[in-house]
Amino acid sequence: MIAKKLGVNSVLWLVILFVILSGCRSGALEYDLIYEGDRLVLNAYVFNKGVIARLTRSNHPQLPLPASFSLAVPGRVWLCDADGVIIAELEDRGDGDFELDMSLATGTGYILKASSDGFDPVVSDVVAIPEPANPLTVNFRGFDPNNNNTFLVDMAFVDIPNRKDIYFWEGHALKNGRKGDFILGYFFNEIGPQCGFYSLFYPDDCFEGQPFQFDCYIERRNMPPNNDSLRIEFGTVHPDYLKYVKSTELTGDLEQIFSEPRPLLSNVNGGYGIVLTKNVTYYDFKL
Amino acid sequence: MKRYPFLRLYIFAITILASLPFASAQIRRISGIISDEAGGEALPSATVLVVEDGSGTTANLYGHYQITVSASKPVTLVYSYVGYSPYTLELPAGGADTSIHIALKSWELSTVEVSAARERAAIGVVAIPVSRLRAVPVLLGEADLFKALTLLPGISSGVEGSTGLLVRGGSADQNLVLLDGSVVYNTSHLFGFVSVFQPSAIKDIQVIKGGFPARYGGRLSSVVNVTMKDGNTKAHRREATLGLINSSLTLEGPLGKNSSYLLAGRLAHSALLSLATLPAYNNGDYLIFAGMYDFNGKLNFQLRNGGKLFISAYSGDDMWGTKRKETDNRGTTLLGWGNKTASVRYIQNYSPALFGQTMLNFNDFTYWVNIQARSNRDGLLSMRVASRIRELTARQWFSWTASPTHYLHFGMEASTPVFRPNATQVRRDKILVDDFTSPGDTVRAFSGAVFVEDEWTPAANWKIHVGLRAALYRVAAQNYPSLEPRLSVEYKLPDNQRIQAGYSRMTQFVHLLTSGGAGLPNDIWIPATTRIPPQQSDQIHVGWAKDYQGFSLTVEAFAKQLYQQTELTQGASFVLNGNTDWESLVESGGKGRVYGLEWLLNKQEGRWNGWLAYTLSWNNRQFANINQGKPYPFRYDRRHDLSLTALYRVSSRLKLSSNFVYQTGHAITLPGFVQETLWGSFRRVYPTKNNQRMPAYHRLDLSANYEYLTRKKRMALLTFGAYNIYGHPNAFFVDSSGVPVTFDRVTLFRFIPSFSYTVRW
Repeated sequence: MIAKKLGVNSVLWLVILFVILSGCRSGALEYDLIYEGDRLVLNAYVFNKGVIARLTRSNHPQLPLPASFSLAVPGRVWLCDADGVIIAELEDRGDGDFELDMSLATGTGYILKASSDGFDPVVSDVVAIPEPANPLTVNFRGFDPNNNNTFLVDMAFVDIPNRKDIYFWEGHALKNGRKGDFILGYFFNEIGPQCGFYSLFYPDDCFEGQPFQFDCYIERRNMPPNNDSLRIEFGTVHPDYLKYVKSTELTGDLEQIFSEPRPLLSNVNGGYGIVLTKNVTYYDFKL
Repeated sequence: MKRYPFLRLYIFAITILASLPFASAQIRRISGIISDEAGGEALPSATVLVVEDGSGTTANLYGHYQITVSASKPVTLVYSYVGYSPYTLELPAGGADTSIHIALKSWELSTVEVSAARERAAIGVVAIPVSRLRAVPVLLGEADLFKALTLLPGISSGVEGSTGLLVRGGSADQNLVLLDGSVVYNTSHLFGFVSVFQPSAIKDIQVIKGGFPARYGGRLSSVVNVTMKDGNTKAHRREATLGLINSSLTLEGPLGKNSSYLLAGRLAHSALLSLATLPAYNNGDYLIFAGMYDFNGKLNFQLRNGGKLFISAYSGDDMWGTKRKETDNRGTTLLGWGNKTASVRYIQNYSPALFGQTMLNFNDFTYWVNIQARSNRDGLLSMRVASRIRELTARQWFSWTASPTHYLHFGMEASTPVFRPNATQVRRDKILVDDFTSPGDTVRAFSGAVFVEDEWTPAANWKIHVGLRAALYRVAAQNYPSLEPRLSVEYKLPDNQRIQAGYSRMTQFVHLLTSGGAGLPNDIWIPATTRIPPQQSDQIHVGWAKDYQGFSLTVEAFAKQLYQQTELTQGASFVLNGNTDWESLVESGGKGRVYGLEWLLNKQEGRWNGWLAYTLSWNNRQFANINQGKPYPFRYDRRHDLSLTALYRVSSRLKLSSNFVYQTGHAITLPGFVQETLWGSFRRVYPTKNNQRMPAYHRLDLSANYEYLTRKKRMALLTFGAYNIYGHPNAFFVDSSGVPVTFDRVTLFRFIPSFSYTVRW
């Protein structure tokens, strides 16, 4: 009678329910994602000195990558004019890498086409190489008196007025004529706050038509005898370059909290990937 | 007076309207205030029924009613309010227009148990009284009126941690939440677990979902009218609550004759939350900490000229954050938001036929994010993003019984909102290195509106509510006029049945941008600007309701078309972009389409009572530059939303309550494939928006309330509650990582027991 008054039956029912349903606790989730099937992925630079391209395929997001960690596929890649007429075929360097050494004109429209057995062919949008930058001045200042582990390098150039430019730079060790590791570091204070949060790409918004200088360094361990030369690649990139860089971001913890996943920029039709353009000058120095 | 011709015209108009006689001398007009006998509180939405012809009216938010009755024969008026004993008043034949104030006795205080007034099934309106909403299972040891509202059809909330109500497929910004007439922009505390409205300070809450009266505008999906208590005019009363998470104190009492005050404060003891996550923090996971407070104050003055003056204020702030330490790095993220509102309202019953209210409202909403990262290499780097809205609004409304069949409401309002959506500063070792805020980021606007609406009763069984609202919004020399027709037609069928159909056009001059990644309350309010037009909606609804022996059943169908919707540009974030041109981050011109069916079965009487609510709905959005221009499910598109609330009175001292909620998981964006990037790394790619669903959300809450008298003869209430009693790990967000991608369900809270102790004296 007392039990009935207190509603013991209900309590018992709840305890049973609790026991059954508490078994649902789990951190992992199972999703059966919708996958459209493997497609060709064409990533390439078209620049004033030729074309560098890589041909791979997409992969089911829930399937592991091949043991080789490469999604490269055999195939062919062509450089075409804006009307789709083939200019040249890129040389197959193996493992999905293709290259073409050829002087290409700025302002001219180009298209890349690629094909591979078992995949739909892909065609890029028309892309154009941007105008070149003014020459870069590089000043080797020697080891930092406050930190003898860093060798200071200053770079400067003058922005071309009345033109929207986005600059990029890279500094690599040069070994036996081949590009080696990235060895030129940068001081965030010198670049980031002035022109946004990009380290290697920056628009001329904050120095339109003005001289611009930024300070870099090479760590002692990258100096001779470990390396003997430095190649600085400096130039302008098409605005899509920056958009693409942005679209590849959003992987950090903060971004996961505050943003929706960002779609990866693509200008390749029939598949995925990106064809970007830049106008680059090489500056080689003996260290 | 010569210097104020408008004021002269205004007084002249009031005088004329107040003294206009009816064409027929056979009619008399009765008006007055319906209030609570014990505390003197006015009773909003109390009803007056004329027994002879079945006609009736409903009191407004101030408990004020106006009704016309026959003067040639005796009439019987029945005054009622849920939870109170009805009061019957017999008026003899003859007599002139008059004011009659009625004080109802609470059913619980009645010495004789009589049948209390019942709720009437409402269509398009949620009218469950606060006393009943307070009885549903408590969360964190304290009843929550907003949480209780989400248990009703057509109203839901976002994920655990998101803020606000989602009404009929609308987003959280599309609710006009008014606290004593002042707009409240953010209604949630503590991850959205607690609303900003202290139950002990709230007298009435009313939600209009469809068939909007023309007096309301500025939001698309609902009007949530929250009225603070006026304060007890008869005696000093205190209520103190000690809970696990919050403690509160409410004081109220008389200030001279018929005037009163109310003071209510609430404070969270957030240390417990931090303690709960401390072990995880020590293992390299997040430490979560949170805090909040509320303060409500109100003064209510009865003036000598018969008018009433209300001065009320609210202030509430939240702060929560996470902290994580890794080998060389420490990261802290802090979010804070807060509302401050103030209102001055003057009401006057100029005559039995004319009631006026003058309102001056101010509100201030601030939201901020502070992200700090400290590493051995880079030192302390911090970014602060802040968003703020301030708004001053003046309103003048009148209600006029023009004839026995026409009850008119008309008025005007003007508002001067000032927005600063995005102010970003970056500091390195506390030294300002970048300020992305410019004077142009502050947007000053003006909005004004005039409205007229008529509650027309062409025949005994018909009630037609027709209105028109003309609004103007001006920003940066750009005018956005809008004309908003409103119509609601109700027909009474035999056997306590009613059908209703309605149409509303609504215009909204603000937008809310929500980053969809996780649903944290990092919402940014932005104004309509020259580049971002105001939102608009057209809604139609059809409903049927029946009352039967203590039960009521309501079935409603609705369809809503939304225009000029906004979204953050896909992948954009206000927090981390460092961009002064915030308008460039907004996709505007979107369309939305929502339609659905709602059922509510409500049992109001007996030891067992409660309600069963179910909503079936579809909710899509479409933007030219999102999802390749194709329609996609709105984030909170939930096909099924079911809730069952049961209340059981074991004895006069012990009451048990429970509610069960089941919702289809909301939409999320998950990767469609993996590809190599230009740099050779592997990247998950998200080709379509909101292409997957979160796991279904469900939980069961239980609570028990035990009332007793203390030795000092004070009324004490012990409340034991359990949120999500079977500990279902409802996903707060889905963390997808790695290649191949794996999915982890991140759950905020599972089982939360609670306890609170309340004493009233």
